[in-house]
Amino acid sequence: MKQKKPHTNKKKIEVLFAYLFLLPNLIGFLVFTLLPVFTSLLLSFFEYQGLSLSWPPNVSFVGLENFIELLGFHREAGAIIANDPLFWKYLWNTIFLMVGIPFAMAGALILAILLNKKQKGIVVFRTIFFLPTMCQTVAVALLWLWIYNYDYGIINTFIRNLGDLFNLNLEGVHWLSAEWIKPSMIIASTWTYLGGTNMILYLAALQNIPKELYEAADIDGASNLQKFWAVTWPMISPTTFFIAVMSVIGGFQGGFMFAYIFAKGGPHGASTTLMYYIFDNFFTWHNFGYACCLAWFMFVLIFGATLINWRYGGKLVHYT
Amino acid sequence: MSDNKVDLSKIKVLNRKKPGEKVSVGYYILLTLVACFMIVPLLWMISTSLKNPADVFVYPPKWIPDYNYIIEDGNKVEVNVINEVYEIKYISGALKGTKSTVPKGNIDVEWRRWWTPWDKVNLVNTSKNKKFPRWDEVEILSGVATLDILFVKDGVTNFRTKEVSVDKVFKGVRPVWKNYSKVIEVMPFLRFYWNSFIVSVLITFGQVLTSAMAAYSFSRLNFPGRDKLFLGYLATMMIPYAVVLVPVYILMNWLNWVDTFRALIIPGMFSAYGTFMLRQFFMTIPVDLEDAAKIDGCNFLRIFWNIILPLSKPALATLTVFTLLGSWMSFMWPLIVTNSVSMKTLPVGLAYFQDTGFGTQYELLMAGAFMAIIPLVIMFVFTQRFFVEGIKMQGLKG
Repeated sequence: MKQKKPHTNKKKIEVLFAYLFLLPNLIGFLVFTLLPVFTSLLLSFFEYQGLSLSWPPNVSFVGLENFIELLGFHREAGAIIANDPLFWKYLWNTIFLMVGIPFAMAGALILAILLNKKQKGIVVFRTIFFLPTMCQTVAVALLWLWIYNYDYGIINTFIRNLGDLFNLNLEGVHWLSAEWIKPSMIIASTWTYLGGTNMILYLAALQNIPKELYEAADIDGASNLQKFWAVTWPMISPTTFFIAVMSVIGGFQGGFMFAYIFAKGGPHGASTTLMYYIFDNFFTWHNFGYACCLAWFMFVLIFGATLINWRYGGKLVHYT
Repeated sequence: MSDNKVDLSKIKVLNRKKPGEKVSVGYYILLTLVACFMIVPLLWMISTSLKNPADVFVYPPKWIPDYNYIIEDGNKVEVNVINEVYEIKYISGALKGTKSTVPKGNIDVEWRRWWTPWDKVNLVNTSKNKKFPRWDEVEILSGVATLDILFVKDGVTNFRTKEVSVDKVFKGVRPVWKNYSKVIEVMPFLRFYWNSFIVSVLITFGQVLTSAMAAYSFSRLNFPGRDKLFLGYLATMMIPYAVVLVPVYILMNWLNWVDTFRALIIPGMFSAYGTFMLRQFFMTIPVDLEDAAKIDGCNFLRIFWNIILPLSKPALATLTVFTLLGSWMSFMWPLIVTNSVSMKTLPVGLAYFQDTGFGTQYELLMAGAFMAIIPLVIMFVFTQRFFVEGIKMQGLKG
């Protein structure tokens, strides 16, 4: 008995200490993450509208009505029409913007292969490639707004000069028009993130490939292209998979900042993404319930995309 | 032992002779091209930020901000070209080889395309499309220009008109630094800076501290419910930010924190991801060190402070750098919780700057944008290593 007492005492102190250390983070976690997550779910079953957030709140329980409004359809003059056609349009915009993902990934891989050589000055190039990622803020969006200027922007100038070289009367593109704003956003964000996180991840993956594999391929007389498809590509497939999953997850939540700076989600909603629609519902129109409902729908999408990726993408991946 | 040594040296020789390490000139050209693609937009930002407002909307665009001058009595004198008569020779296009004399108003002399060398070639619009002209190259043989001459002597500015021959007018390079001071004048830009600075620093301090303490608890101490709680942390990492946005805003409103530093800072001070990352790192530190310290009578606080923290400097630095960057760039949350101009952070301030009538004054917008990215670029140059390591750590997670 006498031997056990100090031991249990020590244990008590340890537990007390553990909780004490955990406390600040735990409070923050509860107040700013866990509680809001459940409140958000709860709110999506309510209509909570009003310009002022007065107390008591102007809340009424509507059951699944928000979700029906979001995902449902109704018959109108013989045709089937979505209850919220805007939502489907913006969902389409969000998915359209993801077309850029494979290009961005291929670009990041090419840059990583270029940098994966022990040459003089390679760090300088890595720094330059990383630079746009570092600058990515509203500043970059403003810069691209100016680059996309129809009359005086450098891209249209370049197109006109190119046209002059081949005697074509090219006039350039209205980059921020309804047809072009989504490709414009893809180009701008690809430029921004090309040499960033994904490139570094690929670089790390390339550096982890054992040299022996290439030596064996050399002995077999493989060409560079053969070496890429037979050695490099399978060895980096887990990284490719990881980047793809993260890009899709990011893609569902993306597009807000460029859309806000370029055209405030316009013209005519052409650049409004899911995230932007949540922002509008919440911040502009104060439809708190509907915004929460949208956010939860986005969560389900992300969860689903992750599951599909893990379920089917796993077959394409070579794990050693 | 000796066998090992022989093997090692052989491998090194093999590596050095590996054909894959040889690179061609083409490789460097490709690298340089990509680097240009990355850097040209940034140079365009700097170029625009240093232009006269009158030079921003010119076609074709100028890359170097410039002015005209002549030399009089050995002094540079700034001039404005009003009217010129040139004798010109066409060196390309349909009129190739012919000469003619044309006043400036008729031929719209532009003195260069944006990629041709300075002053070598002049261009004449030969297409009917006024807005998007097609240029023929001409060579200026001689000419006389009537010039508005701007004298600046002893602080007094004088104008007079004078005829000067064209070959005596020079182009000088002059960046308009005034744009930067003007941005600070028309916008409380320094205030935005200060807000961004204080918000990012406090968020980072709070997040690193609370994450490290929680991570220590999760990785080193035993308490009931530890693993379940940690699982809860992990589960929330996948939930998108949008889900918590509305309730946290309502909470801020309820606490009357909207439009204060508290709303900008406090919700950002806690991070499940930071806790997770540090916990993973702490797990790799050998427990033996602590056991030795415990025998010496160290308490948990001292173990945390004197052993765990010093040993995890790289992980702490990585988290610090990432959090600083993330909070410096954060856009949506500051946009939502700030109303008054004096509370805006740099990104929100820039967007506000664009919205309040300066949206077409690109020289000012670009000056502001450049000022906003400078601290990030400086920070990056000094902390590059941590970025690279941090990103690799993220990759290992998956």
